[in-house]
Amino acid sequence: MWIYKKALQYPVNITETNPKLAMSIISQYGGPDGETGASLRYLSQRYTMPYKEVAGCLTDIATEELGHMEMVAAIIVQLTRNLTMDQIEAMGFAPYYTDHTLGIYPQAAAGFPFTAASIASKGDPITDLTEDMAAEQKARTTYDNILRLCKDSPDVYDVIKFLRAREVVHFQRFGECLGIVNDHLNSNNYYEFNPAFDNNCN
Amino acid sequence: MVKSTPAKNLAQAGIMVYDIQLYLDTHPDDIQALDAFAEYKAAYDVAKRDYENTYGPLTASSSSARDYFEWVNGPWPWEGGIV
Repeated sequence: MWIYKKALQYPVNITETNPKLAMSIISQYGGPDGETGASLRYLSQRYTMPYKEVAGCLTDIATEELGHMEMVAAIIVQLTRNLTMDQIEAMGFAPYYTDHTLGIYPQAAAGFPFTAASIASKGDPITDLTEDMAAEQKARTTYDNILRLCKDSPDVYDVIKFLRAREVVHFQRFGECLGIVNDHLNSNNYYEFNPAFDNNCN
Repeated sequence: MVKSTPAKNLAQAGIMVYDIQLYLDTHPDDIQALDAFAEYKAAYDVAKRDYENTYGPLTASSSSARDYFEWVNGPWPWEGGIV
């Protein structure tokens, strides 16, 4: 189970109104490499992870990603509040407004809704952790792309920089997790068995 | 994080605890990290008290008033203005 803490992991205090920027950042809420997918990916993978340290790491990183979903949503909420109809039309927000008003919806910057097709849960520890390391790098690249778009918005830039740094830490931890998995396998042939499926490999 | 405020102190102590927690997941026998975890957890508890005194309960279970459920009092974290 989870218990909600009524605070963001890193404070978000944005006074600027900038729906155009919000429409790029929303990709990290519901896009292909966003925080929703990250959390769901790790939460789903942990059930077949045979090594307790790695299952712990998946649980804890997935939990942190839930907190990042909330931070990304907070950025979007704050960038789009107090919008006038003129601003909605002039600042490219009309298509989103038509479907969601000012509601927060998990979608990519290009407009397509969140899809579980952008994550994997393969039931093989080597495969899943390799996916997770790639996922953290894809999220890092997306945050780098967003950083180039928000150079003139220091309050947004500061929060995105924090989120980007966490992707780097998670990549490091997943690398160590893959090392732990490898230590349990046959050093002559890592791929001889799937430790989450074949009984005779441990 | 220049000026010390309840929200900044909470975030700072919180990220230290969480970062060490993730490290301990993959290094569960690192004594130095275990000591640091205990140290920063104590700092987090102090920051949590200060934060709750300013902004109200962080968790529903720490809502203790007998006349109103403080948990639902604003502000919610995404609203901003929490410093």
